[in-house]
Amino acid sequence: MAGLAEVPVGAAVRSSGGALRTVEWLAAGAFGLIVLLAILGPLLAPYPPEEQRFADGVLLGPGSPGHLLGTDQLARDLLSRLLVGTRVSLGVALAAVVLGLGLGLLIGGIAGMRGGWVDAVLMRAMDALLAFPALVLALVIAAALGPSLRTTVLAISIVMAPGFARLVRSLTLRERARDYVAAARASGASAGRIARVHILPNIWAPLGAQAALAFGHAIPAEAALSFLGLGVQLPDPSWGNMISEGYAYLSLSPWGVVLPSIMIVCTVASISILADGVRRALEV
Amino acid sequence: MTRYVLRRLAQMLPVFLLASLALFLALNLLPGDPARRLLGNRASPEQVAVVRDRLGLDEPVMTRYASWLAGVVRGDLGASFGSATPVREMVARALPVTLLLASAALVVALVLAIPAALVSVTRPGGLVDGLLTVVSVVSTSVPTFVWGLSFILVFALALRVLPSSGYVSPVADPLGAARSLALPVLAMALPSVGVMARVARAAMLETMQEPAMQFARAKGLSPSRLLLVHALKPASVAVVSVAGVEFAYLLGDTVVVEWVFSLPGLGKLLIDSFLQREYFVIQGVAVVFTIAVLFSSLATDLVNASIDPRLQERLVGGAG
Repeated sequence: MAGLAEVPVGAAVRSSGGALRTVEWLAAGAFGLIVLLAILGPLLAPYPPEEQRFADGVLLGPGSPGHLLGTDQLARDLLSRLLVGTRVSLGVALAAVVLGLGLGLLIGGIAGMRGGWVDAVLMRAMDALLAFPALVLALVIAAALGPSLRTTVLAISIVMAPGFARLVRSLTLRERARDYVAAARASGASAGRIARVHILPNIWAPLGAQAALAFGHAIPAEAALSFLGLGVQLPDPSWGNMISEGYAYLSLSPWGVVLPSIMIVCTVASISILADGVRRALEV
Repeated sequence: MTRYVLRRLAQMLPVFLLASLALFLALNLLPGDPARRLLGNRASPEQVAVVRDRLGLDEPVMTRYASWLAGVVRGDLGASFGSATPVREMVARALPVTLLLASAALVVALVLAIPAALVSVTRPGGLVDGLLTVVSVVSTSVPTFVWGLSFILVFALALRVLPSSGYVSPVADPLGAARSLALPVLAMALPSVGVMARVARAAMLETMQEPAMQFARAKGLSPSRLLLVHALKPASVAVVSVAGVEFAYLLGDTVVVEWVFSLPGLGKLLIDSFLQREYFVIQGVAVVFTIAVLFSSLATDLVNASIDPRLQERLVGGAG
């Protein structure tokens, strides 16, 4: 979970503004395809993901008859599990980012609008969350609430909330100083209305870019938690728990680890390249 | 400098108190009886009552927090419920492994990132620069544990040149330790290389644009001297800052890397405690992790303040 969010790829020499480059369009295409697989995955899966077909064989490699990507140690079709797992992993990441963004908007918005001691207390609370390494915080939350899909979403969103809250606060402070906010205040608008109607529409672009990067962090976070047995629980397949299951049989067949790993890397790389391109194109 | 250190410590205190409170409340305000959770559903009400009494669970939660925090300050992190081993002893055995892993990964990442950034800065937009961008994206897109598993697959299972698990103390056998830590350290370092190289490159490019650099260039200084002597020092503030942030990430990554490579560090202790429902150990280990993160951030600021004394004045002046 390296700090990708802070550093745009090749930030210093690239000119800002302009259209997306070829590599960024390719990344958009790859990401679109992955999202499509997540949506259509269960329809495309040749078998139910939990179905054990021992007659076909266990730990088969890709290209085996009837199993395009092979089977796992319980003779389950790897393609089917990968497709359904794509939906689970992307779904968890999306839900975590939406929830983290929501928490960040609430906390950062209140801190930025109220200022004073409220701001100080809320920001110190965010600093306190940042004092935990991300995986340690997620593990404490999983320990507190018990590992499940819902806990995974909550844990990742809480890990992300301080980053969003800090960004929302700084953007809110920037917008608050603008003339249009002073005009709204002079016309008698309440702080809540100013935040919702005037400030929020003006801070969506940088927040969207941050959310895209956060999505790229949520994917490996889910995978790491599920790999450790603290995230999405079996029999629901996710990329992380597929790797965890495959890890035990790594010396017999690498595919249970390799295939979901390729999906994680392709997803994170495509989001990272795409988010960087969109950020540059929007000049945020 | 003393004033600066005191000021930074004073800033860390409320953050630590809030972090420890959040940790304590998260693990102590769970639905259900903590004593029953520890004993399991088959325990009799009498057994539960004895454990509640032994652990002081009938006290108000804030009283329990205060007494736990007082213990932490004294270095008493409680004891394992199952084995009664003091958590301090467990941490004392595991912490050196984790710190060694994270520090070694940081050093390896810096050793790879700085030369890469220096070479790419000499010709921005050139072949090496483009290659650095590709390497950055790849290295940061592969999660640490996936790097770890890939290395096990290639170097331990296919080539059989390095071990896939086990820890050898560097004091007992330095060569054995290097072999046992090579794969986990590299797995942790690679995602950081991309991040740090990009920061170093951006900082050096920015420094090169400054008027002082243009003056130095006009005076006829060679490009290598300009870069190595004049641009590297101002740029190092950004590099040290990102190294501090990365160190906190690396500490977190030890959780999954120690699990993959069976290394007896704090991260593995945390997962083992989770699996055995040892909540007091989780609490003790997690608080040690936060202390490590806070002190690494302090160390980062101190190094930066010694490189650029203006940073001290900014903080002591009240801007921090």
